[in-house]
Amino acid sequence: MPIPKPTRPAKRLLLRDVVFAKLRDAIVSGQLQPGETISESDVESWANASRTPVREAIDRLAAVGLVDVLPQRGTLVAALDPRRASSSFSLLGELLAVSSRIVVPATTVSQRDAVVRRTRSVRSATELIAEDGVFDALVGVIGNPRLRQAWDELVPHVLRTWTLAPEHMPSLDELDLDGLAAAVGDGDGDHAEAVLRRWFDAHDAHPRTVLGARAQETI
Amino acid sequence: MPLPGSAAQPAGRTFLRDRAYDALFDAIQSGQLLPGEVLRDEELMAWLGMSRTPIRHALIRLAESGLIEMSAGRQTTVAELAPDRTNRALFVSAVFNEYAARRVVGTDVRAIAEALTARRDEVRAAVESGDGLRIARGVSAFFRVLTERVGNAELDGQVGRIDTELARFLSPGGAVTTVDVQALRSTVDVVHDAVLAGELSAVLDAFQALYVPTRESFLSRFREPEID
Repeated sequence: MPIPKPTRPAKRLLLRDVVFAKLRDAIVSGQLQPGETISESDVESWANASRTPVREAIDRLAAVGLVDVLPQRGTLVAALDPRRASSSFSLLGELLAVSSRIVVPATTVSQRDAVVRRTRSVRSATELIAEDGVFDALVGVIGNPRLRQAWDELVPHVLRTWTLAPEHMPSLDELDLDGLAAAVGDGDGDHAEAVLRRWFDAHDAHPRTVLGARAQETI
Repeated sequence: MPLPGSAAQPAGRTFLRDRAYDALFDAIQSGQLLPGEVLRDEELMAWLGMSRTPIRHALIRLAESGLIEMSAGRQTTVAELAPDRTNRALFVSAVFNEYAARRVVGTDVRAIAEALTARRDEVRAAVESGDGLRIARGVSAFFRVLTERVGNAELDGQVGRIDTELARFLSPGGAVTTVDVQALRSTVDVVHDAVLAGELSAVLDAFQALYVPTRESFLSRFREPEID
């Protein structure tokens, strides 16, 4: 009888990570509104957790700027910060552009197909960067957990701002989705990078230098 | 767990949690706490002379910087200095430096030229001295001339965290230095000259090498035939 292959145990999640993710998602979706007070005891019963993991989760939320812990006043959901969101968005563009350049030429056909299918179904900017979105797939497939961490730190501010203040959400008009799908399908990383950079540049709070500056020509 | 001599000091004006963080950070950087060493709350409480709460705060921050490992059902340990971790952090660092280079190189860089040269010289001197921590700080300071020039506060925050991790990989506490310091030094030299000459492509070429390990690890994971 063949000895059963040991299956890798699912990674156990720390309670504080679970509480962190729940609160983060509630803040990003607007279920918890900017300025709203977060009561630790409410969170304890809501998340069915004890005091320590709740405190630790709130600490982390404060570290990423989603809540403000104020002496005497308790924990408040942070105000919307569109500037922070656009600076984060600008960095997401770089993480994604470099990831595409490096990973697209190396992907297998089935990986490409998965990204192409998702790309063709996109209807909003949120669907691009949200969990399981097109960009998530591209950054995820490269398999660098540290890159993933940077991505996960930057995304919540962007998504939250777009959800609560949709006027900050960039239009998809300038994004050549067909061009991106085609570039990924062909394994052409440089072209995928160029398509992505064009869209991010059109909405970038920290503009890129245009070398060989045609932009400076006056007509 | 052999802990260094008492770090308890008068409280001063800093928060206890910051003092706990600094003490642990220094102990890890200097190699007093070695990779893989188990960190127990009770021992840390006795060593630092404070309660559990500020210590837990400090441990969470250290875990987020990748200096220690905390996971459910396992002991908290000082993170191992795996070459993979270094390469992953170098990849992310290169992405942020590429971001800055694409925004700074080709603009008027006279305002940063002096700082860039002074920090390049410091990297050279640090490599001569062989002091790992000094090299790491020198390289960080050099690239921060570029990243701070952009004026993106989120970038500055990300760079600060990744620099903390990279400093550790070069610190004398590591049994093995996984980073080729001569290669780092020549990257800094090339980037310095190219930034001053306004040659973006030369800067980007210098970063390419830092992307190679992630790409190769990707290939080895996904290109191997699946075995059932």
